[in-house]
Amino acid sequence: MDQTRLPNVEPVGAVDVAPTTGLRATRRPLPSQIWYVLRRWPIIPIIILLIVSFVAFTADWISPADPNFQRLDFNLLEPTWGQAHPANELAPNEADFDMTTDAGQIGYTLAAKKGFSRNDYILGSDGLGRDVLSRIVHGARVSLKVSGYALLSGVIIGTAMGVLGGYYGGWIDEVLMRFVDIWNALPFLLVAIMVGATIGATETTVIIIIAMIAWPPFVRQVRADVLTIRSLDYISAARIMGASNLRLMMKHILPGTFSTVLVIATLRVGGLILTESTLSFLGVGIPDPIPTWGKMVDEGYQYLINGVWWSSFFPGLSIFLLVMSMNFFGDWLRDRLDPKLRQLD
Amino acid sequence: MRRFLIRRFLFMILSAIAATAIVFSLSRAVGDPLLLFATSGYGISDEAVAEIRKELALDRAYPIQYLLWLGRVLRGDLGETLAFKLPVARTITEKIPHSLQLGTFAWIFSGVIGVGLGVLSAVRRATLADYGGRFLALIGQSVPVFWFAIILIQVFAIWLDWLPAGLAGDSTQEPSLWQLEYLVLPVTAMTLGGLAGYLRLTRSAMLEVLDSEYVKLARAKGVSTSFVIWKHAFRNALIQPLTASTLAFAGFIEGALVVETIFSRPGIGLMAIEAVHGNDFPTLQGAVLMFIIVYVVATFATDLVYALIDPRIRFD
Repeated sequence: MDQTRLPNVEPVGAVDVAPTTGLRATRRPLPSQIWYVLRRWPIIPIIILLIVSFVAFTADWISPADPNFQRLDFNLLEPTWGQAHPANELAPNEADFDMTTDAGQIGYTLAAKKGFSRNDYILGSDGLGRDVLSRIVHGARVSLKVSGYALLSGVIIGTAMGVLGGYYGGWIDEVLMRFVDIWNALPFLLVAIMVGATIGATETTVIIIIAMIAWPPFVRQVRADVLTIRSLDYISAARIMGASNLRLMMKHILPGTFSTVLVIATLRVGGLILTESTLSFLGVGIPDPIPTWGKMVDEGYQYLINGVWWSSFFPGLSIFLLVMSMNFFGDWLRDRLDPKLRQLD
Repeated sequence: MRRFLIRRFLFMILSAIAATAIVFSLSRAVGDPLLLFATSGYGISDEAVAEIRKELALDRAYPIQYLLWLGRVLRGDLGETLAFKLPVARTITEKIPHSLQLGTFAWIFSGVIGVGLGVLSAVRRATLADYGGRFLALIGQSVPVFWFAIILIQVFAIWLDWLPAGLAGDSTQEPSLWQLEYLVLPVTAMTLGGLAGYLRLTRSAMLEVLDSEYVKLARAKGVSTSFVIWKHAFRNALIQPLTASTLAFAGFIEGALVVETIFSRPGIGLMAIEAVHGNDFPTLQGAVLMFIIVYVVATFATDLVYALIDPRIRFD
C-alpha cells in the first residue's frame, strides 16, 4: 500500500484549483461565482453554527415562551408560520376556572398573562401544548453544552494518552493502545443505556457517557504525530539543553499536534451531538424537564398517526442541520489544515 | 501468518474478558443494580430485598460476583428474565435472527451502494455526480437515524401507504423473518447512514490509487479506461472499505437497536430497550454480552481480512 500513499496527492475536497487561471478579464456569470465562493468557503454551515450558538446563549431572552409551559387545550396545534388568524385569538375562558376561589383566580390570571394565543405557536405545539419553537431554542443549549463538555474531556484524555504513548513508547504505548482496542470493543449505546438505567441519567452522567466515546479517535492520530515530532532535531536539541520529559511533552511536542486535534475535534463533535440525541430519543438521556431535541422527536413521533408531523420533524431537522454544519466545517478545516488526515472517516 | 492470527485470537478472548469486566464494574460502580427492580418503598419488605440480593449473588464482593457471572456465562447460563422467568439465553437466541437479518441487509446494501457511488464519485471527480455523491455522504453522516426512520414512516407508511410501518410479519404473535416488505423501511433507514462511510472511504482510496504511478503507467501504455479503473485501481482501493466493513457490521448490529425500537422489530435491540423500561437487569446484561461478542469477533475478523489481503502481514 505504501506506493499508493504518495505525498504529492492533491487534497480531496472543497479546495479545488480555480477553473480560470490568471485571466482576470473573463468574468464568469453570477451563479457560477456564487457557487465558486460557496464551494471554497463553508459560508452556509458557519451561518447555521452562528445562529445555533447565538440561540443557545440567548435562549432565555429570545424564546417566545416558557419551553415547559403546558396548555392542554392548545395541544397539537399546527404551525402558524407566524401568521395570525383572528379565529385563533383566544383569551382564557373564565368558565374554565372556579373564580370563587383564590386558586381559580390565580390560575385565570396566570393563564391570561402567560397564556399564549394560538397565533403564537409558530412551529406548532406538541402533545402537551408546549411551544415547539421555544423547546427547540432551549434544546440548542443542551446539545451544545453536552457535546462541548464531552468533547473537551475527550480532547484532554485522548491527547494526553496519545502524547504519553507516542513519547514513551515501549510497554506504556503497548498498554495504552491495547486499552483503546478493548475500549472500541464496547457496545457504547448499550453501555450508555445500562448506566443511564442503573443510576438514572442526569446531565452530568450523560456528559460522562458521551465523553467516554469522545476520546479514542484522538489517541491514535496524536500518537502518530508525536512519533514524527519526537524524532525531529529540535526535540533532541531541547533535550540536550536539559529539558525534562514533562517540559518536552508540554512545551515542544503538544503544540505540534494542535492542528490534528482541532481537525479531529471538529469532525467528531457532530457524532457526539448525534449520540446525545440518540440517547435522549431512547429515553436514557438528559431527564425532564430540560428540553432536548432527541426527546422532542421521541415525544412527537407517537402523534404521527394523527397527522401531527411538526412536533417530531422540526427538532430532528435542527439536529440534522447542526450536525451537518459541524461535519461540513470539519471537512473544510481538514482540507485546509491537514490534508494527510483525509483518510479519517 | 499463523502466529499473527493466534496472537490476535488470544487478544480477542482477552478483550472480551476485559470488556465484560469494564461493563460489569461500570454497572456496579454507578449504582446498585438491585435498585432497578426492587426499589424500596413500594411494599417490598427488607427480607424480600435481601432474598433477591442473595439470589442474584449481589451480596458478594465485586470480583467474586464477576467470576461467578463469568462462570455461569461460560456454561451457557445467562440467568432468567425478571418478568417471565424465561432463560435469557433462549430469549436471545429467539431474537438474534431478526437483528442479524436487519443488520446484514443494511450492511450489504450500504456496502454495495456506498462503494459503487464512491467509485463513481472518484472517477467523475468534480462533476455533478461527484458533488451529488459527496452531498449524499454528508447527509448520511449527519442525519439522525431515528428521525430519518420517522420521515420514512410518515411518507411511505402513512401518506403513501405502500409499506408497513413496523413489526415483522402480519401476525403480531409470531414474528416472521421472511415477509420482506417489513424490512424495506428499516433497512433503508440504516443504509443511508451506513453508505456514507463507505462512500467517503472508497472515494478517497480510489482517488489516491488513480493518482499513483502504476495507474499512470497503465494509462500511458494504452490500457482502456474501464480496465484501469476496475482491474488496477478498484482492486487496490477496495482494501480499505473491505477491512472497515467487519467493524461496520458490528456497528450495524448495534445500530439496529434504534431502528428496532422505532419499527418495533423483535430483535435484541428492542429487547434491551424493553429490558431497560422493565428494569430487567439480567436481560440487559445478556444483551450487552451479546453485543460485546459481536464487536470482539468483528475486531478479530478485521485482522483476518487484513491477513488475507495484505501479504506483508501474511508472511510476517
